[in-house]
Amino acid sequence: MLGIDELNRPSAARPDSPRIPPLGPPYAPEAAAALFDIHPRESLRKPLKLFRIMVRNPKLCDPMFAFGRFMLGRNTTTAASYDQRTRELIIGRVTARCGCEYEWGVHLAAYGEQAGITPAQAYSLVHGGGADACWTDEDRVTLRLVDDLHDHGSVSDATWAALCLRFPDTTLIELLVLVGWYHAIAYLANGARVELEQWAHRFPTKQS
Amino acid sequence: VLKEKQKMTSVIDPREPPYSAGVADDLIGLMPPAMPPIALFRVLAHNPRVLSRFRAGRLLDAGTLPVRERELLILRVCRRCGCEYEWAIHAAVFGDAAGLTEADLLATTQPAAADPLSRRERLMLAAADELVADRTLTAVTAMTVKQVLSPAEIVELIAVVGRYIWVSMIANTAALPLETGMRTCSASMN
Repeated sequence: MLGIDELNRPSAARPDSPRIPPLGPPYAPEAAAALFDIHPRESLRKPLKLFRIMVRNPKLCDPMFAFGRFMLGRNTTTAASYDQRTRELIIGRVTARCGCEYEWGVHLAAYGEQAGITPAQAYSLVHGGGADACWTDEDRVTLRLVDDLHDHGSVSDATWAALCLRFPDTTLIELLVLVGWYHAIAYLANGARVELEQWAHRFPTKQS
Repeated sequence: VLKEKQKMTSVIDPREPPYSAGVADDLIGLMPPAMPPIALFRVLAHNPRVLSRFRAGRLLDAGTLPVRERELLILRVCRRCGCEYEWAIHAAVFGDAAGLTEADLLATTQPAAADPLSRRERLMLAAADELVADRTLTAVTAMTVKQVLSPAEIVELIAVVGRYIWVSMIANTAALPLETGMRTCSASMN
């Protein structure tokens, strides 16, 4: 039996016990339609566990997957206008700050290399911050955007002024929403206690 | 007349980020800490060389003229040039530090500036009016200016007037809307 304190603590998560289990094949037609809308049928990987949880609610999948495609799409005429590195630094920092190892590890494995995230930077996303030597000044501004919003729900004037030198208003709007969106993803993954993907990265072990 | 000018088509829009390192450095240097660059500077950012010379040519540090007189002059020139954009920035950002009251601000917008300005201040605004209109001074004003102001002050006055004609031309031709949180000069006349 767990003590009452342990039950009340969000971190009492036992990774072997998802609260909402992912669906598996055979999928009901509605769930299959939603799932294979986002996950290519010819993919060698199984659909993400997070998606297989979401398709329990196919109605919600339509808008959420559409939004996800906008946020991650590479075609800047139809999708978001920020560059991939900024996007992945934001996602990596948000999910790290939320303690969401699931989404952090999925993104690092899927996009970390393309986005040029080094092992030292991956470590710093989880256990460090913008003050670490591994970052450029541009990266630091990106991390400050996430930390400001995560810690205070808003952006300091200094961070904003620095962002305004790099991004037009249209992109700034997208970046603010992106930070919020990955908080929502982290809440979903953490709250439903989705199991880590076998192929995904793990949080680096903290060095003393 | 001012209303018509503001409806003018913009001849050039503010540059959008990202900026080159040199332009970013000048934009940071032109702004107080933690403030995004205003549209005027982003228009100049289309031409990094001119932007950097503009930054080097600032006259807002401690000069020969007291800050109060400098700001009255700037407001007057902007008003005479129909540049509400820059008038509003100086009223909001420099007005308090220059010790300008609402009545002072109002005086810069009146046809003939009188109370509460001092005789010397009124002379300077009259000189500014003539410089904006004719690029020179009438004989009477020239004589009085020579009696009241030092040579260094006269040079500074002409330089400040010239610079804010320059600024007004940029803001007017770019048809810049007021920066956020700025009030209009007409509001101070109500």
